[in-house]
Amino acid sequence: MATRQPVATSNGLAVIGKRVPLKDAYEKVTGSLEYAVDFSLPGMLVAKVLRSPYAHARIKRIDTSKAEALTGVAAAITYQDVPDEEWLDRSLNYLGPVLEDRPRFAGREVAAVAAVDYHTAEAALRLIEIEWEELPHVFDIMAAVEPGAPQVASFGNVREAVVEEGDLEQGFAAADLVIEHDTRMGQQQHAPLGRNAAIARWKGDKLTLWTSTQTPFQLRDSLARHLGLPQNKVRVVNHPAGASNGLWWTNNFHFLAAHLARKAGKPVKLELTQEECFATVKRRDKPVSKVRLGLKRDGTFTAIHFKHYFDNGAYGYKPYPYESVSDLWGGQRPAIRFEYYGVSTNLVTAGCMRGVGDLSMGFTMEQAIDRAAEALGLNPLEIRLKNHIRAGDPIYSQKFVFKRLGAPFPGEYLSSGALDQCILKGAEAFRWSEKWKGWGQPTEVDGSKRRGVGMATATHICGGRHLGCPSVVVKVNHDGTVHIFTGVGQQGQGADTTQAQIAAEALGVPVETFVGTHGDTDTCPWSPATVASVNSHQTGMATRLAAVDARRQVLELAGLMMEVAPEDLDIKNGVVFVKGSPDRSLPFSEVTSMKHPVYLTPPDIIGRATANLPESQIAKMFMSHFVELEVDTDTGEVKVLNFVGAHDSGTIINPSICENQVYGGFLLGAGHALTEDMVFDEQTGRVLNPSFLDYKVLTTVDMPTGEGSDMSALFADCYDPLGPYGVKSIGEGATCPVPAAVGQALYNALGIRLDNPPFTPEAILEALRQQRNGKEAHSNGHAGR
Amino acid sequence: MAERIELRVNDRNQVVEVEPFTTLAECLRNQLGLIGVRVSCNQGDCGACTILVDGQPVNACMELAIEAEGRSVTTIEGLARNGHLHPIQQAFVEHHGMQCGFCTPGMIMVARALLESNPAPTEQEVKEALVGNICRCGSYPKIITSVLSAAQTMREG
Repeated sequence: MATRQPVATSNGLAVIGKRVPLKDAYEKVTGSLEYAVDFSLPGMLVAKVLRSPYAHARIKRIDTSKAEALTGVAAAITYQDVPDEEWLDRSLNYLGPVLEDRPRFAGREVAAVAAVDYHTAEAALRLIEIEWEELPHVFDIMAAVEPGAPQVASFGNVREAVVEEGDLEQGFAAADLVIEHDTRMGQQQHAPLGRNAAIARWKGDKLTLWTSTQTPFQLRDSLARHLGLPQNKVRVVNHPAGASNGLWWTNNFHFLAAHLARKAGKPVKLELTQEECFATVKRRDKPVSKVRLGLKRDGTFTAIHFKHYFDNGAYGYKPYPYESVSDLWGGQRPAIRFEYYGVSTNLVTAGCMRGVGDLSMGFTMEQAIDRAAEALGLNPLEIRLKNHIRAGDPIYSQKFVFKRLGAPFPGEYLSSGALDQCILKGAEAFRWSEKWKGWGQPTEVDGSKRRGVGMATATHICGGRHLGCPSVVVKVNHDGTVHIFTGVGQQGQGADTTQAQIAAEALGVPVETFVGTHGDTDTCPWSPATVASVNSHQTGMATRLAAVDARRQVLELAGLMMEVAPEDLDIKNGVVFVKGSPDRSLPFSEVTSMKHPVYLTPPDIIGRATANLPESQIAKMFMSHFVELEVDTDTGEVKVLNFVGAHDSGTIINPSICENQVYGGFLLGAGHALTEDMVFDEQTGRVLNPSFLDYKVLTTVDMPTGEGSDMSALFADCYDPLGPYGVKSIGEGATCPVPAAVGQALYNALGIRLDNPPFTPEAILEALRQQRNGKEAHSNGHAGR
Repeated sequence: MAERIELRVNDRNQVVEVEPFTTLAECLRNQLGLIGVRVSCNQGDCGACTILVDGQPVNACMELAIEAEGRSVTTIEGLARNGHLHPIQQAFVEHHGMQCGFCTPGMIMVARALLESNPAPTEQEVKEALVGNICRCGSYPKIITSVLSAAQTMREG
């Protein structure tokens, strides 16, 4: 059974730190929550999409006339019906035309049909005639960077960025040991449980689009730009997503629905099948990572040179993997050079998935650190404690953004950090010192079963100034109930609940009085996309200030009623009272329902705030994960037995939500490490396992709970000076340390280094076979046993 | 050719017109508006659409609507009575046995069937009962806690 760890902080706070149920829990347990797939309109048509069978091809001729003539078909669109211009996702996960005559991956949209029902729409797709000319394609990222490789994107195949600081040559010259380490990770897919849909309706020249997205305002802005409409002529109404993990942003299918509905003159619903969700939207950017790490004999890092190639697939546009690994190991000021290469290939678009570069690059870096520690006779805890950054240390990862903007780098430093607590408290909770037997040493051997322990660390941003400036509105009704309006996307992370908790704390009323409206672009203020773990820290700042603004107005009213100066009043738990004389009080609702002497009715109280992060301080979350697992050397099967996730997320708003985030991070991280891998057809690049049947995600029996197992999340005592009530963020970071911790535990269990997850039974059995044959199971030639 | 059939859904008789190939999930969602029957994989891999047919959990996406004629169907919408949540639903709320909520109705329906036949399951029995239900948010530990807590509440009556 999962244990509940005590939660520090939240002293004197009424709502922050409480295990408040999810605001939409009732709708979720009764099945009444409306995801986009559940939404429909009267007279609505449905859409189906025709997709390219080729990895790379040119459409020489396309004819939809027979499809359009079919009874029940209202419209068909091809590249001839949409603008040529490429649309750009604000977070650079997509650059491409809505449709084009040169589809660049198998599964890319070629045409779409709107009809009265799905059977008619599917029949119409079969009537579309296309004459193809196949073009050369490239799937492997290291092949795609070679000169002469088939050109995928309009801008070439490679996007580059560099983060550097200090003299790399000197750094390596000062090193007593240099570790070189390369990894290739498998291909993870977001694999959402909930599907998605876009329902588009035009009324005159106004488009309304219902969908489930993390990026309602970015979708609104992109649609407006693409369609040449003002922003008040495009309305996105956001529904919660059935998990997203980075998949449902501003996606190409949204644009298809808008064009189809306009041509059909009726509302159109484009609902994706599971195969389309898995194989045609986006996947995690698949990396090839190479690191050189220079160290002193005592374990001090002197230089890090990282080369990170990551797959953008057919339409990704990222030059940079959104990482903080380049900041994490700056405690001893090593010289650093981090080179990033975003590479286009003829596979389905790749981009962000929960954890991004801090998962993929973190894996490689953690493995290099492990090799160094073993060579130097250090344990995994002490080498990390010696080198990680602390509050006040400089941050360089955003430097290239300023360079690109031609702006001077302001000099950034870390606002708070408690990775040391995560490592030490996590180790204590895990009973690390009892279980750790040394590098490559199993904790226990029982016949064919070998147990090992592993740990790893990571960091991740908590939003970012560059994402944009969140605004929030808090509206107090006459009866004292409260509405909160934000632009956050809901994907199961509980942002509606945590934002309400922040606002309730600031306003001094129970959280139960709050109702939220999130991501309706006609009624809510603009917000950054729900990416980069933005909400609790960055959006929360605006939420707190909006509630403070509402509170000020309530106190002014109360001051009039009670004939007291507003600054002498306070609000707690729904009661307005005179400071120092709590018996002189009025219920909050009595103040808000007072007939105003001038306005006659009670005045509407509208608190608002627009706030962004400061320029020179940056908050980061930190985490250290500990894993104990058992490998069966007869079958290659791995079972995780124990897990501790120790997190520094600043003040914890809602421990239950944060624990769920940690467990979810484990699920994705351990899935990436052990089972999850997309398989592509060698000829066409088509995804061969776009289903839960063939793409194996972890289930309840894979979680380390039950007899002899334990799974727990614990939180460091850390107050961030920037975040509301000291809050940082948690969501993405929870995935990041897991693959490296699993890899280290496997090494300790088996004495075999495994560099390329997923560590499937087949891979483990092959490694064991090579071990028996006396070969090193890894290719890097470092300190194996 | 569409066919008129009678179904008993959440203790009410319903008449629907379905094609021979209409799945029970499609019928419940599209004709009866029971959107708590969540459809994800549509091929029996994920458990999101789990409902009870004559008390037994089945994947509604794998049953044809016409096969359910004359049988008793319970969906998540049939669990709460007079606005009062079933103890399993209440436990999921209290213990955060969910994140995005897409798997939640399926999880609760499997738990309902489990606790009917085994009112005092062990943690391992709960895990095994839920093995066909995918939660991509990884809420499993709190889902298990919710089911065990509900079992206790229901035993204490």
